[in-house]
Amino acid sequence: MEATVCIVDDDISVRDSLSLLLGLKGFRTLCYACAEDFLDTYRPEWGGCLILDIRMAGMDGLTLQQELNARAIDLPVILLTAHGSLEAARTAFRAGAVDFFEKPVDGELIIAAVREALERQSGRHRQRQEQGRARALMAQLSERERQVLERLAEGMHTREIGAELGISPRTVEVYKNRLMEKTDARKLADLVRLVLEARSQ
Amino acid sequence: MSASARAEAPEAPDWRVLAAYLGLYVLLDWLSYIHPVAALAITPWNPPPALSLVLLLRYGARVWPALFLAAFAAEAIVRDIPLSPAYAVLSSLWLALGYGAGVRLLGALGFDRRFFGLRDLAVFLAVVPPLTLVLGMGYVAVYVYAGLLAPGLFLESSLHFWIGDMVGVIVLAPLLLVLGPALPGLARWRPTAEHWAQAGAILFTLWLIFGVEATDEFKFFYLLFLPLSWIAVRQGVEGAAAANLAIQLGLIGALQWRGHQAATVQEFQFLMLALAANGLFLGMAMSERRRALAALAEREGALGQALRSAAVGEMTSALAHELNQPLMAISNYARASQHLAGELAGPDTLRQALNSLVAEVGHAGSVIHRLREYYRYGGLHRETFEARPFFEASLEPLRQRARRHRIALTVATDDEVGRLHADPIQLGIVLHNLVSNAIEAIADTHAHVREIAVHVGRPDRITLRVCVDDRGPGVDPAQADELFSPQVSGKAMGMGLGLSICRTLVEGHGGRIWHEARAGGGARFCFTLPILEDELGSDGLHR
Repeated sequence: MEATVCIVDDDISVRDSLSLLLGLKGFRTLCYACAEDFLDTYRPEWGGCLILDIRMAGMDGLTLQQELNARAIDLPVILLTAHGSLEAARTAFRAGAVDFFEKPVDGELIIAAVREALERQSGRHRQRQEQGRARALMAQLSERERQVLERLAEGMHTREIGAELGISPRTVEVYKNRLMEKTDARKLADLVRLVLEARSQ
Repeated sequence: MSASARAEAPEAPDWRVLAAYLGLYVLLDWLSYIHPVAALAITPWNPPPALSLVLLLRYGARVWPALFLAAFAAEAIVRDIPLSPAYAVLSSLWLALGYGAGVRLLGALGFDRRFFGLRDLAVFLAVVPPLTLVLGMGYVAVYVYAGLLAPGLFLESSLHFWIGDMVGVIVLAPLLLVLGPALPGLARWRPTAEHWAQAGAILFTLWLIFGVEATDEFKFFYLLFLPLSWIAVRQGVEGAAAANLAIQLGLIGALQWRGHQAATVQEFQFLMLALAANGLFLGMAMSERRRALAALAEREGALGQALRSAAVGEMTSALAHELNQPLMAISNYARASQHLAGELAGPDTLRQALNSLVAEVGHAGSVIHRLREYYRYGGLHRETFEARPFFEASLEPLRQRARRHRIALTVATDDEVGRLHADPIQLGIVLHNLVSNAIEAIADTHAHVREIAVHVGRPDRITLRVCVDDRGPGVDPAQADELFSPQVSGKAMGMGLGLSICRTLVEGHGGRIWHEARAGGGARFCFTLPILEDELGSDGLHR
């Protein structure tokens, strides 16, 4: 699904004006009057980012941010507040906010923050794809192949690996070639990256 | 630790003070040397020991040799008894050491020499009679042993001594004690018309008692209570002490003038004692009340000012919130219009105007921001103080208010709650708000359990927590979320703004405030405050 900027603010004029501005700049937007409405309609396949007001009736913006983290919903968050405090900003950034603005703020700055958020999100998206590919490749390997691969990634020599696994260096060499072939790697460094990506969180 | 030990350590007396003391002692002794028993210092009115007592209270027990010198000088100059210098030395030593011990006793009982309250007066009046009795018996015993008094006269003479010294001390010493600190300002003191009237009333009453042949002196003595009460009520303990002395002088003068016998003078001195004690108690109560009222007015003035400033801050904050929303929208619409204007390829001036619009909105926003910051942080005056006595003292006036609504306010405090670095007035506002809300919640109901429980505790090392529980109707769940938000349209000091102020003040201290619904009905409001860090270190908790 196309990246969407979700605006959660209990003030209708702020919602409307932001959505108009972002819409004119070519972003797809969705508006919610409260945090609960957003949580009720959210679908995991959505990509994009969130613009959150902090002080709202019901669940406030910072709590929604925590809730998203708790539910592992990976949407970058931009916080807006009409009631700025250092403490709130600190909490927001600790929870991974992209940016924090005190109202009124120039829309240009919000747009810049939205761009950054979307980039960050697509970056994370790409990273997740790489990770998925690496894990899928690893899953195809046989037990012995994986043992050899892991030791290669740790920087061990063919001879050491052979000694540790109780096979000849020659056989290790055969495994290595087979691994390169299977994973489409051109050099040893590609193998190392594959292992690291698969292991990354 | 006694109150007198808390007062600053007594300094060493100047030689001029000692010389003045000696001179005054002998002079007073000479003036009051009436109706002596066997030419000894046994008279129905003996004020010099009041000087000794005050000297001891002022400069400490180490000045006792001066007392000995004074008593001996009086014996030698006023009463020519070169016949028994050894006994004069003995009796003078006895009196000097006796008053020294008496002052020690006063100190041990917590007597404050500033003579500040009813407690000091009560201790004073409890110590002086037995002290003078013991001193009198010792003094008389010396002269019985010396053969100057018949052994059969021991009890009677002791009684004479006792009444004279007791009345002398009780009439004069309080005046010296209360006038001591006021002495530098005394030169500028001018009597008002009321003072003259009061003096006139004393003179008139004395004339009525002693000057008019038709009146029985004893029966009419109690008329003196009228001018004395007037003075005590209007002028406090200072006035009462001065009036006591005036009446005593007038009384002795009148008795001498009428040529009364020693026995009659003694009987009048007993009446004088009752009169003096009454006047002092009434005056002291009035002085205490006046001080308490002044302290209360000062406190309430500070509280009112802080409350007003907090309310202004809260209103500013609420207003800022309400204005920032439309400003944000205006700014966005302007940016959007700019975008649309770009599509139209219209004149550049429109785009510039829209640019200025965005800039002006930003300017308005920063003005509001500065205003809000000013009121939020402008009024925080932190002090370091012990949490436990602070909360107990702050809750006392609220306890009295609760009692008027037949509500019991109970306070439980953990033993070790540590110290706070906070603004006591702002915390007072928070406490006042929470407890007032609880009182209002219960006051209008007919609930059986009319109880508010305040708990001050320390849930962990670095946090102080105060909870106010009431068994009122509780908070409407629909309103629970909005409790701490400012209600711009609400009444100025109503629930809405009050709790909102509380939140601002508590958060300004780095604490948190919240509401819980109580199981079984009622509400619980709690707030936390950080406990002073270096206190943690000195507790040894860090080690």
